[in-house]
Amino acid sequence: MRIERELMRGAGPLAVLKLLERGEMYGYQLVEALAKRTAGVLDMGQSTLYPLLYNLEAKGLIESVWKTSTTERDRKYYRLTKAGIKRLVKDTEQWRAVNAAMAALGITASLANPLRTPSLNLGGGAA
Amino acid sequence: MTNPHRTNTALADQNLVMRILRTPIHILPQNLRRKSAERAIAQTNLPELLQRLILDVTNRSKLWRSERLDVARELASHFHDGLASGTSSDKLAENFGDRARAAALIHRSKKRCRPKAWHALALTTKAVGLLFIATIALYLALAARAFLTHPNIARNYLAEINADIEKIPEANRAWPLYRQAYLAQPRMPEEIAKEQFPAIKPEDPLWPTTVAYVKECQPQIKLLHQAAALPSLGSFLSYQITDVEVDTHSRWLAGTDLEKARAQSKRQADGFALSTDPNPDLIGVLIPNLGTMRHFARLLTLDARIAALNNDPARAHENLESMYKMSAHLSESGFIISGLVRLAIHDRATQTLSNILRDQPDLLSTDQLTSLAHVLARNNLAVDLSTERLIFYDFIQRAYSDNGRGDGHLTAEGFNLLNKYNFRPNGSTSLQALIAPAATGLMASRKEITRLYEQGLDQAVRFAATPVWKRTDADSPDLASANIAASATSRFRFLPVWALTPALGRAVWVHDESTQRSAGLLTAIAIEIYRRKHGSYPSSLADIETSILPAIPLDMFDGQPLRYLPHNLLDNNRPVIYSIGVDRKDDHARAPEKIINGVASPSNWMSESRLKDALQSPTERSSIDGDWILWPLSPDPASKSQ
Repeated sequence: MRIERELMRGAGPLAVLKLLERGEMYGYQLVEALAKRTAGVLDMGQSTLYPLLYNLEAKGLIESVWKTSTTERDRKYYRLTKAGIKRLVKDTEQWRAVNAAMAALGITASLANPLRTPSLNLGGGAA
Repeated sequence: MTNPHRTNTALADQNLVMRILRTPIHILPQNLRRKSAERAIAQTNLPELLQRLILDVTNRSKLWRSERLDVARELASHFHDGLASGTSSDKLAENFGDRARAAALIHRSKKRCRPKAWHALALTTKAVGLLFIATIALYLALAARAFLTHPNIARNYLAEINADIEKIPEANRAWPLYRQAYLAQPRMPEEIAKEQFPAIKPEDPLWPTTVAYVKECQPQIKLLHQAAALPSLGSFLSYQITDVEVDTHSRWLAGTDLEKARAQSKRQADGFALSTDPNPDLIGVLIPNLGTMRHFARLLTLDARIAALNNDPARAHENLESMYKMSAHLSESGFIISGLVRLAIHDRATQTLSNILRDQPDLLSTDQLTSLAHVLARNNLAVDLSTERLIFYDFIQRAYSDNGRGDGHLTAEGFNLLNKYNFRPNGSTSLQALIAPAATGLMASRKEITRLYEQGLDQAVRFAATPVWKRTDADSPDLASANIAASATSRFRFLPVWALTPALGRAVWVHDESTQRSAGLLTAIAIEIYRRKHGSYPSSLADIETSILPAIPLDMFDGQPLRYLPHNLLDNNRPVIYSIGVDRKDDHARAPEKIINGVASPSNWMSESRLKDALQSPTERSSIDGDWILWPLSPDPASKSQ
């Protein structure tokens, strides 16, 4: 499932910040991780990822450094800055609030029970 | 043919040399940058498909060389990782997405990473560019406004003024006789022309020549008396001047050096006289009667002095009376300059009569003195600014557009008019042309200009009508001009007002001075008539019968009757008539130590608050601490009005 560009614009940076929370990563790793961990929902081509990374870097949320890997190939690694960590916390809270609101509207699953999708409630005779 | 797996940098270098040789010089730097990126990409050993993709994206990104290399390096690293994970180059290229969009996004995002100084410079450049464009747009709009709108010259002020003169019956017009006398004058001897000839004294070597010349002029003097007796001047305003007048006028401009004088006179005439426009500028109109009348006043002064020395009271009286009447004739035009010449001629007559009364008190009969007192008192010396206003309105109608509601803006024609009369900011002609549209936009509107000008003139009229002893610094009619002159911006914005407003304060003071001198002379005539009737001078001015002096003239500095001492200890016990002067203190006819402008006159007037400070200053005190002696005047007849 491909996400609309407008939605991706809001979700993509947060997703990247979240992935970098665990440690520094290079571009290909990020592409792969996004595709795998979001089951392809937030899969973005390089044409989107790299500009996104440059934007985050311009905002001071991440920083990059060239490193020579064990395969002797240069790779550019990205990692969170202090500002990036703060932003991640803040944006996560906001997304949770949005998600809760969406859940209240029956659009998304509750965070308390993320596996319970709205469709499970349809028919609703569980009580 | 392109090698699909080209990785050899030597080949790339060879191609680079060939491309440089084939590249037009103006795009060489751009191509060199591109070649650097190509070379770097060629060294990545990626399949050509991916090399081309990277090259395409980096080229399209239009970034700095270092930025493109950085992007290329990262994308290459990315594709290497992709290939290493088993993805085909085709799949990697497909997954990459739209190249053009990627290049655009990379361009935008990479630029955001640039240093703050670059962003500041870019912002400044953009702002300057926008400002420049806005300035050009504004300039073009102003240029269009200046050049596409034109003044509406609706009135012919010159014709209107001349129409009033036309109404004067020909038999009542004095100017034709004055002109006839002027053109028929004998040539003045060079040695006299070089001197201020009315000031020549009997003891001067030139006196006999002067007397002979005046005798030669008697036919013209007779014409002057005839002209002065007529009720009106009747001199039309014109742009036309004949060669005869130029030549004749030349004699008074530069003595007998006729060629030089003719050239000078022609130059003066060329600027104004050759206009055949039926509605010419009022500002450049000729007033040839001014110079003529001044000259005649000098001639009559001299003739009156000679007559007095020859004990010929009738001739002296006739000359003096004609001078006062000539002065009255000049009140007809309403130009401020005419008014000043009128006052100068009036003052010259007053001074001449004062001196005769001082030196030969019995020369003129009581009837003659009475008739001179009457003609002197009848002379209206009030400041007349009516034609000055017309000059201004005429300029406005020629310089400004007219929206029909009394407003408009300076047009290109108006700017040229400012240049024509040298009312312009400094700069070359081409610079003037360049700044014309901006100038027309920056200068004040027709309504603002007119309002400010009228305020100044109205203030001058009120100022002149306010007794001197009631005036304050805040009443000065020159305040508006001073405010305009205070800054270069306002001088430019209100240039027409600044340039066209005459020296109003000075004009009023000259009038005040002349009025007070006349009052002094009237009083002097009254005490002389009293002496003849009673055998001695009055002990007080209040003793003079109202049949001789209906009211004692007022001292302009305090509004009290003029001061009088029947026996002035400072002047051989002779009577003296005086004003308390600028310091407003009766010093019993003691004149200031240092006299500026001939007398302690109103031109040195200052307000009470300023007076206190001035009296503390030794320099200023010496010129204001004392009285203004109105009669008798200083024995030296060669004073400033000569």
